[in-house]
Amino acid sequence: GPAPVLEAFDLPNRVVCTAKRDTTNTPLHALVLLNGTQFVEASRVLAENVLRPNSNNLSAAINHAFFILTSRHPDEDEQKILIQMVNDQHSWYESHPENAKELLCVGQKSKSTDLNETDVAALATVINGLFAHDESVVKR
Amino acid sequence: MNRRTWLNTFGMGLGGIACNELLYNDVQAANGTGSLQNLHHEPKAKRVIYLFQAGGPSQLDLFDDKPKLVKHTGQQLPESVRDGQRLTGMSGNQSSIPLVGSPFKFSQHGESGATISELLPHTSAVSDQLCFVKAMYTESINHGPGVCFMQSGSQIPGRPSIGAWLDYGLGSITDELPSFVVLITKKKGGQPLQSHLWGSGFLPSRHQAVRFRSGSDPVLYINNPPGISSDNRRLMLDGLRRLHEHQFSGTPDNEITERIAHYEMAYKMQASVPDVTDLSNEPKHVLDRYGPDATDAGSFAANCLLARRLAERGVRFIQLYHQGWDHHGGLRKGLKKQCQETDQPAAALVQDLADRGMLDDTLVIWGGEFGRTNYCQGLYRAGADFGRDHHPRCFTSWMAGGGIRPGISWGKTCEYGYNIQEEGVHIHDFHATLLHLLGIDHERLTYKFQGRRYRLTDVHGHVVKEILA
Repeated sequence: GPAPVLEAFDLPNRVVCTAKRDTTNTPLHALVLLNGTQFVEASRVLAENVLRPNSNNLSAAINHAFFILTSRHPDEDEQKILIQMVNDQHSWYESHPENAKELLCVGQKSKSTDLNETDVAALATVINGLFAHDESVVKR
Repeated sequence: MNRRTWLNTFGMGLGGIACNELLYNDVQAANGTGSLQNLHHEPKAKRVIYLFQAGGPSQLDLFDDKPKLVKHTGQQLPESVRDGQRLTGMSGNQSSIPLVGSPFKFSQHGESGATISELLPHTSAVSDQLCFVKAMYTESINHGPGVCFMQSGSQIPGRPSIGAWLDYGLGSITDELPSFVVLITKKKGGQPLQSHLWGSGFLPSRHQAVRFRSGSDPVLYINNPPGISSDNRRLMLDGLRRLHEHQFSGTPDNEITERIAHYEMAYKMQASVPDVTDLSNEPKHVLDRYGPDATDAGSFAANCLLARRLAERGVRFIQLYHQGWDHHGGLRKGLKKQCQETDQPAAALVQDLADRGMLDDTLVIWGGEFGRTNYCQGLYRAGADFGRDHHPRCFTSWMAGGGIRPGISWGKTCEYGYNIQEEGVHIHDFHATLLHLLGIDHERLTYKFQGRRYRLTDVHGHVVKEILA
């Protein structure tokens, strides 16, 4: 059958003609976007890919990630919220270094060796959330 | 301030200023209340567990004892009984339509004297709690439209299911679990089921069911990924919420507030779903009651037990589907197997709810989409196995709890088990009665779509008052 992930996102059932695909909004979406391996792996790789060009500046990196995911730059208020989120996660991973390691091994792409693990984990966790941001998943 | 924000804040009047207040109220309303501000009358039932038997269980071999059929086994279905009614596509071409009496023994059970066949010993033991509706009828002759009719009140897909109507009207009891859950027995063949059967139709899509998968992983991706704990996930979600609220203040679209609510529900489900599926604190005597399959995740027995646990935790409408009742052939063997899988758990569920004091406000329903014919499908040979074709004209369902009168049988079919003799109950009447038990007047829970107001019973249906306690 079709991938369960697609079923959560209103895959047409092909029993009746579907002129317009459903766009439901259910808790199952959140679970897929936040916990699905594909998305978690993408989060950590994107974290690495925004850290490097921004010279490891966390604030610049998270703003850059926001732009990539939502196609717009975060405004001032959003930038404040974003860096607060990153800092909260950074403190948390500082006291849970094993968790940082675990997170950075999710998926098939090998973990980077040139970046600070706490930085990457903190960014990846916030980016994981941004994948599930309304503006990342809904085109208005 | 950009132009969009300016327009939203000032162009919409007080909208922008009052927005924060509205935002929180909307989220709570989305979680706590339905469209009905008040119920139409005092409800008896708070929740429903619907054990749907897909395929059309043979009422003539389970609940409707017809000695005349046994006597006339092998003889042709009399024209006077059939009265020119259409036959199905499958058996309509038969040159011979011989009657077949049930090979199973019927007897009276309990104080109410309910008539049940030997295939259902456990159901027989709880029969004093049950109300048998013997003269249900429908117009559907096939499964697709038939099940759709039973679930949505229309043979053609597109209408909301019963659970969706209830969620729309009554809202949810808890915000820890979805209020409409579907459980399908694993590894069953037979007629396929489509998700529109538990869908929301034209109602807002959040009223659709969450279907738990059949097996050890009822909800995918319930667990946090490696490295992320619920603590820092919670921190992140709080931040995400602030981002969404900020977005909402610039773009007041209700889908955003629904999304916030769903993310909260998802977070709660990460704790509540493992909790509800963890049977380790379930006492052994309770597990034993549901039978040997009780711990086999995805079996009918396990789903019944899970249904009780979901009901305890505030899920309003739990629907089980058990396929495989479509006995066009091999009925003797097939029906036995179906009953072995479902008899004990269904009875255990009723008893379990009663023991916990939950039966009074939980409506339990058992039934399929139509019945089966009194004549044999295919060649009849004495002593051999046989089949029955679809029969929409009369069939049996049972109900228990939730304001239903226990220990009675309502409606009668003719002595040939072909026509209704007394007190027929159409699907619309069944729906009207179900809504009534939950405190809803079926004529007054409506939704305007494509220019007119729809309801579960559309323009039909009468509450069957005689089966109300």
